[in-house]
Amino acid sequence: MTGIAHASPSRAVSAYTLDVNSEGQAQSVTLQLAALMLALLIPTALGVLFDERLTNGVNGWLKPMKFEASLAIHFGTLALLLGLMAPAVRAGRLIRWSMLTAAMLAALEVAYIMVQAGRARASHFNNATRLEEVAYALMGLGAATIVILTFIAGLMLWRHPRPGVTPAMRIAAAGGLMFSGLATLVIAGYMSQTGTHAVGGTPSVTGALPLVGWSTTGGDLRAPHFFATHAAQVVPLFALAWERLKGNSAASPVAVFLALYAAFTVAVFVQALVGLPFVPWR
Amino acid sequence: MSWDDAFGAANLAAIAGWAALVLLPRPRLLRDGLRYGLIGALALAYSGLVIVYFAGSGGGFGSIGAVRTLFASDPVLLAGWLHYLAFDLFVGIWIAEQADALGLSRWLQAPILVATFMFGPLGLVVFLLWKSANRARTVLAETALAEGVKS
Repeated sequence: MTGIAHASPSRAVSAYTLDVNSEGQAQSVTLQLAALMLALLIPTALGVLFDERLTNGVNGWLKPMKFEASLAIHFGTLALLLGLMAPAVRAGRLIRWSMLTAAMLAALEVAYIMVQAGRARASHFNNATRLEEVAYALMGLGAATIVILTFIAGLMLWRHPRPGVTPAMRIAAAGGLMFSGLATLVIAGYMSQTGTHAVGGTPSVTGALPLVGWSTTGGDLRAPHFFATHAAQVVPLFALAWERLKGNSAASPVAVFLALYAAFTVAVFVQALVGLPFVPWR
Repeated sequence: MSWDDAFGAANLAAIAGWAALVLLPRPRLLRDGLRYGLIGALALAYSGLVIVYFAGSGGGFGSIGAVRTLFASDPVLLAGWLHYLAFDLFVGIWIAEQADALGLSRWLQAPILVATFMFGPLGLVVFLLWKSANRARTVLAETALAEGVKS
């Protein structure tokens, strides 16, 4: 009892400083990163609107813009789904340090991508100079770490859900995060080994799919990367909709959906590997 | 709109902001309006210019020569000017808030704010010295008062 009495004044102080033991710290830092990415969209949009230079045939600021949007969604999702984790685990060192590390790496990644966009140079697949070679390798390491940490968050969520989380949401959130982490690691890892996201096709960017920019003439490994990574949103959203519409919180329908989604992602991966565009009839 | 037009428009906006800071009462609305509205707009314009033109200018920060190359580009020179305008006004608002909190006269603040507008760091250092001198004066007065009470 005395322990609690002693703890309360320091708690009041810690509201104004970084409270390293807070249950909310992991969610706070992931949400802060998501907010930072949303903020960066505004200056990046200036580049998209006014920069007339082209990198590999397209406005170089489209790339940081896609990364900012994607990372905002990814870390926003992490913040939400961490709320389903048992508070004691969420407050634990593993999750707090994992999320802080992931957020830092994401910020550094986008910083480098923006610097390279400003220089009108490629960031990924660019081994032109020694510095860019090292930076590209470090980005790969950083991205791999982010997705591994995403997997760990999913695993911890599966093992220690907060009381009251339905079986459907538990498997959707944990399964979505784990599949996102694992499949992205495999697909993006393969992509980095081949040294390009294109499999055959003409390298021209004209006629690429709007918004995402995937090739319509050959295979594009960014398509399976996209579906793998965003499983973390799609599967929980499915569970949410299913629970609302069907009033059914059982795990099995979500498990079936997760399996189908995984199969679809693998199919898109194979489609790209054999050199077929994601939308072949365009 | 030429770079010269943009330069003129930015100057006009900055002068209007400074005039408001020196002459008008300072409710939160005014200070935040200057900070988020005017300075925000200047900073956003700066960001756009640097994003598009910095790398292409071929200059850098490493030497006087590199900086000169940087400023040989009109849009980067304009960006540099916006940098002055935005940061000087930001410092000006900080000075005004500090001075108001200390209860320092608006009449005496005015020349310091104008100096900050014209020659940023000069105005800032004068304010910092003024603030220190005021504190010394307050401490002396309090000590004298305490002595007076004792005797």
